[in-house]
Amino acid sequence: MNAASVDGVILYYYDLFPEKIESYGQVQKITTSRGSYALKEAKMDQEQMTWFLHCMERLGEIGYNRVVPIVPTKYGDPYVFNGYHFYYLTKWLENDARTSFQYEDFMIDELGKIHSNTVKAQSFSEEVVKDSYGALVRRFEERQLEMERFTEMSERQTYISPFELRYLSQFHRLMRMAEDAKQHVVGWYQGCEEEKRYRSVLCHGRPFRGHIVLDQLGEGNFINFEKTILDTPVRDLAYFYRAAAHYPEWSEQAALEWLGQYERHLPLLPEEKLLLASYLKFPEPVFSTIQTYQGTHELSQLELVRRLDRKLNVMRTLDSFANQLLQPITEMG
Amino acid sequence: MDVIELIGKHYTVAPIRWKQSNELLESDCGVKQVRFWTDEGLMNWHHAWRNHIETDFVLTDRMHRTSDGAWFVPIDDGFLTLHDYHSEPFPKRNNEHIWGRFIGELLEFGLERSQFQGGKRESSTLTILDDVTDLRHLGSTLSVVRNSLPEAKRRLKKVTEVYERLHHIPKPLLEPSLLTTQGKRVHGSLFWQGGNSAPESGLQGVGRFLADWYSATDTKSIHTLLDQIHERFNLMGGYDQLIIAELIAPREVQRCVKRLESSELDQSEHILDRFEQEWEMNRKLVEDVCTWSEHLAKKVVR
Repeated sequence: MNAASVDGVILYYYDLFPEKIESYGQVQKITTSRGSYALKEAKMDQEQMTWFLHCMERLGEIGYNRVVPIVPTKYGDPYVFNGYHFYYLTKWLENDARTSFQYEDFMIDELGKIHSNTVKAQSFSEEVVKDSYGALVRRFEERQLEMERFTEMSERQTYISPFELRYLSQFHRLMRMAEDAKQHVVGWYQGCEEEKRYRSVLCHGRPFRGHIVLDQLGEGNFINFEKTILDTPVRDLAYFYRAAAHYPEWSEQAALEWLGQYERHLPLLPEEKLLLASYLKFPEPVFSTIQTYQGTHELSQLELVRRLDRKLNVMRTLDSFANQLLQPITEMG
Repeated sequence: MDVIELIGKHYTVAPIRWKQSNELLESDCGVKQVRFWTDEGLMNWHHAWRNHIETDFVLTDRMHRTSDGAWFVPIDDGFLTLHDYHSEPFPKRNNEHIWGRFIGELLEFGLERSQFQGGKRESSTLTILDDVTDLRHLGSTLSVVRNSLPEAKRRLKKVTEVYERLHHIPKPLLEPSLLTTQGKRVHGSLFWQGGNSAPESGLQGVGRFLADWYSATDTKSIHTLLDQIHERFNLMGGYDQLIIAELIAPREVQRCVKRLESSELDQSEHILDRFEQEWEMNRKLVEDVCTWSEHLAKKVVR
């Protein structure tokens, strides 16, 4: 948190007279005599903003109320545009990591509600599914190739860095996970083809603890629907599990229970489980750590190795969970 | 119900007391202006231009929303609206680009909405001397005004000719009075405090604005301002001539007579001095605007 200043014109639109302004990244906490507010600078263009507002409206239409509502300007506008950025305001609610609030239980339950209320069986288009399949496999292969290149480059070094050494020791395991992931994508594609079905839901886009705030009653509320998108429910679930695996509350048992909790609202189709397993197995987190390693000179080797270790642990955890997830399907098969 | 109570009930701002009875209200969110409307069409027009004009470079005194999301409150004999009110003037010098763009936006909107009928008035320019032909009731000390009347009439005839020549040009719908004092500074931006009068078809509002601008600036500034207006709203093809016609119209005569009618005899000298100054200033302004217009025409020909 930093002390900050906000363009006065933005506050003018809300008739806010701040007593204190604190900066939390792109969010400014504005404390006034009328209460505290969160002013968000949204990195969106007009089209994205319109879509974001449409999604907020849609959530209202389906009676979904576990979302922090946007406070309109004094003129009734949902946002302010200052010629460069969009800004919107909500009431300030705390995100307090010290509480005993069960974030993952809350999130998975709420995702289940949002998804089940917005689920739409798409009219099956072989072409669309084929395109999605192709794009996903291409992405996986491109990243795999990048990881192989990094491996070759590391092996050619006279003195291998601690980071590279740690990475190389896990390379074959990571490649196996990547191959598994690709194989499950094939399984998902075949499933869609056979069943002639594909469904989409309104995905939050970034469901993790940082996007949950608690109201005065200690109830959870989602914030930040800026990345909301109509996509397979697996998109949100994969993001959720990847984030949840970082916290001490994670256990395979808990992860399976979360899935059960989700499926009480929207049971996943067998092919969707394959797609979820594929997302969870692909070593995307490790790939992004390599990119950070190659792109930054600010972090120490020690910090980078720590990061890599954390990601490798998460990958092992997710790989194991994905196997558990697929067990019933494998047994049936 | 008392107006203050009514505002407290419908709006999120908390009224404190009247700063100016039934007009300016002190609230927990600063001073607000209260407006009363009996003509719904007129109110809608004022709501529309305020919303349309406001952009990232200019703020307007738009209607505040009530707690229920409405932009007006129905009252017994009409409607009530709530607006921001500011008093710090927005500087003119070196800000011609902001003012000019704003006036251009107003003209653009006025033209788009020129078909609007509610509350619209025809231009009052050609009738400005109707009330000043008989000056006998003002006494014998008014030779200055009386002597200027033939010239004023000639000027008005010229205006009539321009109006007739350019009758085919669509005229924007604008508030008849646009004054630089309506421009306030809010967080460094231009905040335009609009009025509530019925719009008139024509450019008299712009004419008054330019005269007002000129009284506080100079030739260079008025030329820059016109350039900026023209950049946003094409003044060629007749609008420049209509603006000049508005400036030629002998409004200072009308103003002078009104001042004399409403003041004591001992103030006459002061009023007449002012009249002469205004006459002279207007003459120079017309010259400067004509120069600008000719220069613009030459640029187009090239």
